[in-house]
Amino acid sequence: MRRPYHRSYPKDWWLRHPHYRRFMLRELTSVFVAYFAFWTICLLFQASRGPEQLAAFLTTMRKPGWLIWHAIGLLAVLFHTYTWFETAPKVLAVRIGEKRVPDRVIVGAQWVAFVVVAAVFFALLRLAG
Amino acid sequence: MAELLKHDVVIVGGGAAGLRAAIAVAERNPSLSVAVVSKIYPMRSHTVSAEGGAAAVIKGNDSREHHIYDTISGADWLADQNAVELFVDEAPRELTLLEHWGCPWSREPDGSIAVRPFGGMKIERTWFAADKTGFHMLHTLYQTALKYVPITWYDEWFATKLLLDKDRCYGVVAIELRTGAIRGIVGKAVILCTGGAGRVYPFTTNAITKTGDGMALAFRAGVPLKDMEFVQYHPTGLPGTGILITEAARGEGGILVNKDGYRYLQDYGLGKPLDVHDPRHPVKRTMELGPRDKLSQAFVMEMRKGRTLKGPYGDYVLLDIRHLGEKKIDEKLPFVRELARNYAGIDPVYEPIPVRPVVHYMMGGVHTDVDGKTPLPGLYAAGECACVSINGANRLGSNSLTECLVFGARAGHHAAEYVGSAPDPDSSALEQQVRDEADRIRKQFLERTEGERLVSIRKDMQNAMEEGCGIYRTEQSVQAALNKVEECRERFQRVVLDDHTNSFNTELIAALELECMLDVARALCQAALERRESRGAHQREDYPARDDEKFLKHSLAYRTADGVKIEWLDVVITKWPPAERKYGADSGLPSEGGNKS
Amino acid sequence: MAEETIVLRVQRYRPEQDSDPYFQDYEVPYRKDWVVLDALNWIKEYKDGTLSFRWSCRMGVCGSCGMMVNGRPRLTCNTFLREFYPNPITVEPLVNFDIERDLVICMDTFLEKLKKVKPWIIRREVKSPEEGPYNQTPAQLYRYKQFSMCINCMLCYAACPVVGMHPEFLGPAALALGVRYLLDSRDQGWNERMEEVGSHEGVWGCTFVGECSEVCPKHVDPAAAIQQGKVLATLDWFKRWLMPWGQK
Repeated sequence: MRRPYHRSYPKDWWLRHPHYRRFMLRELTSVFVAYFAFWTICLLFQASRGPEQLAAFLTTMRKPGWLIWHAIGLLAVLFHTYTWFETAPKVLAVRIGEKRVPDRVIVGAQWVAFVVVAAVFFALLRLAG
Repeated sequence: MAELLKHDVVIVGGGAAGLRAAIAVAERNPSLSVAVVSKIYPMRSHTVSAEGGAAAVIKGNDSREHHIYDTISGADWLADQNAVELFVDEAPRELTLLEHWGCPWSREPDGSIAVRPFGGMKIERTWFAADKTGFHMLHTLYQTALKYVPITWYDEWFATKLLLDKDRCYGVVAIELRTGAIRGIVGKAVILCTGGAGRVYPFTTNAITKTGDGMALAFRAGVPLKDMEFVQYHPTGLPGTGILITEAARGEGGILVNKDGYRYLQDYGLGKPLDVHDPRHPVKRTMELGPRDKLSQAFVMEMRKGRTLKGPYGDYVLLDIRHLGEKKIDEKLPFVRELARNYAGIDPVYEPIPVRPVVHYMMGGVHTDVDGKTPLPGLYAAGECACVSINGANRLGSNSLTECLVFGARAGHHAAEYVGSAPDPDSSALEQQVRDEADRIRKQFLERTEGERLVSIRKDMQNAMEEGCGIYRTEQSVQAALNKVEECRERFQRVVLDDHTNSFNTELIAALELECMLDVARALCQAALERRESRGAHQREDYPARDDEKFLKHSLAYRTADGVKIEWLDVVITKWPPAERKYGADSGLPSEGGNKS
Repeated sequence: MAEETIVLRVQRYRPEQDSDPYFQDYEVPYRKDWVVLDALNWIKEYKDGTLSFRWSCRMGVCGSCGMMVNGRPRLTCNTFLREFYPNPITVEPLVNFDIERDLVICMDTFLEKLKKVKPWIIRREVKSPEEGPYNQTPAQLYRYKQFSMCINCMLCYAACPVVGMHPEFLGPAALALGVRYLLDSRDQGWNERMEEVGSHEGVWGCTFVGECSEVCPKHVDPAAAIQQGKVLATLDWFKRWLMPWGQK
């Protein structure tokens, strides 16, 4: 006789191991990436309405509530970036001959690229400003 | 209820031989229905643990003559030479087929197959997939076999008995583990591919499943077991667990040393050592690359001289591969490193590995011809559970995986032909046999509530076998083992289980396995008793010389009402008359025809 | 001197008598070189023959003895008691599978999934064995070698929340093997295999938790296989829809 026992998957599975919690954090922080994209569109929209509207928008953004909110958002996005870079070696198996390029080289290369792109961006801003 | 599950060919065992046989039947005649009955999922089969490689001539510097000669001399001339010739001729084709099916063989830089040397070989010819060759071969075979629609998989079904009718074999009685149901699985041909019986001994490289089931099934049906006295001890198993450290470790240059750091093999007619950094090291058929029987015997001699090390699991020596360096060890022997770290607690990059000889392989098995046919019409056998014989008194390392393929395929092809001509069985007779077997199992195991637990019987049998039928034997020691085995058989009649349920009763399976081992052990002892000579892996201290006059013969053990009866069968000699086995400097292939003594 | 002991808290379920699983404690001798499987065997041999579990090779290559050890999927043949001593060890059957009995899980779903990725070489033109082996350089071999090391032990299925929530997901081991054949230079079955591997139940079912690779005892890194499978599936999609003339 056979009577297989079925176990249902626990709803709180993501609380049951640090790795799962970390995974959920990674997924949730991606919301801030979308948020900042939306915020950038808002910024451009205000800019298109003229200098006064833009100035008013920026004044609002300097209020402490907004600053705190965006500081949190920045941390979240940086964490998300970090996890994204960490997982990249799994997606990109770069091989040179028989040898696989070590994971840390791929991760390191991304950070270097990140810093370079950020530096160029701020340099352009400074030139424009 | 004795419902019969009907097929054309029934294969018992899902390891390399069984899977190769299943594919062979399906390819030869796709209209045939094939049943693969395996007590564990096929990818769990013990083939998975084979490490070093599979032999076949493929390189220009090698030749069929070399492979034949290495095999025959390794076998101490007890191999049938017609079988060896055929084996060597078909080996490259079989390994190539496996390559076509996806086996990730290790490669040379130009993309051709890479080979490595093994013990007892004049020329390197072992194909390998790092040091997980058996694993890759098994998974390649299993995954390939999945594409054949005519194959029905009876995973986790344990065969307990052959179905017979009018002196032909027509299938098996088997228990479905998950339900406990006992059914007849019927086919006009049965191929036994159940592997070896290393678990008859306490220290073995073999998985828990290697309990000689197919050998016992055939033996009980009146089919003789051939050359059962020849048990190969692998010289390098881990003490305690018996886990195998592959011969490839020595093929790549590993050395064996005693407690003084001395390469003791030089004292036992295996040639002189070269420095490990000498580019000619390791020399084929010399020192650490001598045959397995000689190396295991040298260990015992060394132990008697008190020059081995002592540990909690008995005496041991050291296998040193440190000079290969981390890079080569990781590339060629990654599994050796993993096993040594996990189970010996040492990293072989920095420390030598403790090793001792452990039971590894049964040269003997169900008596078959080169087509896998047994004397019982409709019954075939292949792989370690069969004895063709190409292995004689001592198997050459890396011939066994190839043997599973060559003779698995041959058995499959011949069984597929045979089913066309075999008469239909009497179904009601078969149904009756299934009912009788179900009754027997219920009464003997599931209903008994008092008696002896099986573990004590098993341990007593295993210890008796190691003491009496180990590397060195005498009339007295073998007789003592036989007496103990007979006593264990008596006690087994009163074995009691804790588990009287049907679903996944693994204790019941363990009992049935022990029953098989007791039959195998009995045949083994009787053959060891009556072979009054020393040859290959069978070393009788009371008869220290090889005796070709009387014993250039296979032993055939028959089960009779009054014990095991031994008959003798001449060895087939074609072109290589018996000669002295030589290893070391003057070893190797004699000139044309092989007449050098 | 009293022998040192350790407690194994083992989940039991016998379908013929128990309606639900429960835990049973066993006190077993503690030995530094014993693995959890040794302790289970000691129980089975000397204390309770009714305890059922699977095992075979005891050297970490057959894949039979995967169980939850203190909540983590492990091969019990290479999980040492000394890792937990003197605390008790909880042993349960692998999660995300139905329980057949005690520590034995039902594997049927995996075998169906394995077959779906067509884990065999598919050739349009077949070479006869007499023509010899295919050529495959070490670099070509290493492209897929790691993904061919899977022993089907099912630890990754027990670790994967997607398998737990969506049983139809093909899962890490089967997908790694699918990708292994996609990457094999000898294989020509790209299109038919990609239909399964590149499907919603295939690589796109994966949310990249990455836990499969954490628990894999053979360092197969199925998470990497699946992410690379996503890249292959994306390129395949572009080829099919943007360059239909580019089809082989």
